Amino acid sequence: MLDKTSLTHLHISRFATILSRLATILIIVGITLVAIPIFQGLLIAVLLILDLTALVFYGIITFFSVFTLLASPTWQEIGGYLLGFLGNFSSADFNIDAFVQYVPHFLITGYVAMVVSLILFIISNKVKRSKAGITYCSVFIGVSLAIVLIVVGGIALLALKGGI
Amino acid sequence: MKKLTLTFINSVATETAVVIDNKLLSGKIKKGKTYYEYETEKDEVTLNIFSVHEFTGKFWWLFAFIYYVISVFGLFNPKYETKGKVFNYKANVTLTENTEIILAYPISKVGQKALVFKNAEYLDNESNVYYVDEKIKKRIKGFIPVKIITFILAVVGVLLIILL
Repeated sequence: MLDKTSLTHLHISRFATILSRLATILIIVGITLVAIPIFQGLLIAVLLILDLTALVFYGIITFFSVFTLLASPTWQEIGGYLLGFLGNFSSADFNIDAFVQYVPHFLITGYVAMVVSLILFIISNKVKRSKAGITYCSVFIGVSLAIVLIVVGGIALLALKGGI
Repeated sequence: MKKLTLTFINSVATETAVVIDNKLLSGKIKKGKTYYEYETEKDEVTLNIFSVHEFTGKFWWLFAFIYYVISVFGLFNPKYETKGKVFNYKANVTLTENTEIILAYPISKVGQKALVFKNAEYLDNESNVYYVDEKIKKRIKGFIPVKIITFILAVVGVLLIILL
């Protein structure tokens, strides 16, 4: 089929878009949760979205783990964290401090998903294979990594000082 | 050896395929323009440019369903082209040593031109028009009940988990 290649591009592009949108939500929510005392009023609404997003992410990770035979402990661990979060959210004695400890994992998972989606965008030709496109991707990956590291590092410092 | 160069000065939201003498070409993107090059000994070639819709292909239903579910019931899913709008342009092109055709994608509705020839208006013909593919339109309509049923089943499933 002559249109098979184009169709594959379309599918990769759509999957990458969904993945990047989910990753964006994870990263945004992760950063928002750092400021929980300020945004407590919004927390329930955010958690509802996050609950569904985490479930979807766990589904994707499991899918890849099973079907690509790459069930590494790291991915299983991330899946475990997400499931742990779901359990935490569902329990009656919801503990805000226990919840905050999941923030770094959301950010890291979100970041990995964002990078994967960018690579898929390049494969599917959505991001132009040009010097400007590569510069854009490099800056994007660099800046987002910096944000993730600052937030995760901040939380780690707070945790070390006994703040969380 | 004769060379044919197709230059698209802009991009289009839908995926398109460029086929010359039944050979699918892959384009090179440079400064926002997409270039397709083809070399042949022939004096005349058959040019075919057509749009590729995601609701075509053998497993369109499976992909549509997977994307619907992983995008949290369409929440993070990019919008589909829902009218079944496609085009299938065909023409015979007489070649010189170096033939260059410059094209653009206009913003068009059904019944309007799919391609604008900037330097080769003589190639314009009746196949250069958007039309509705009834098969795709039927598939798009047929997928709506599947989405509704899946959503209801998911809501019922979540309610059962909470209640039990």
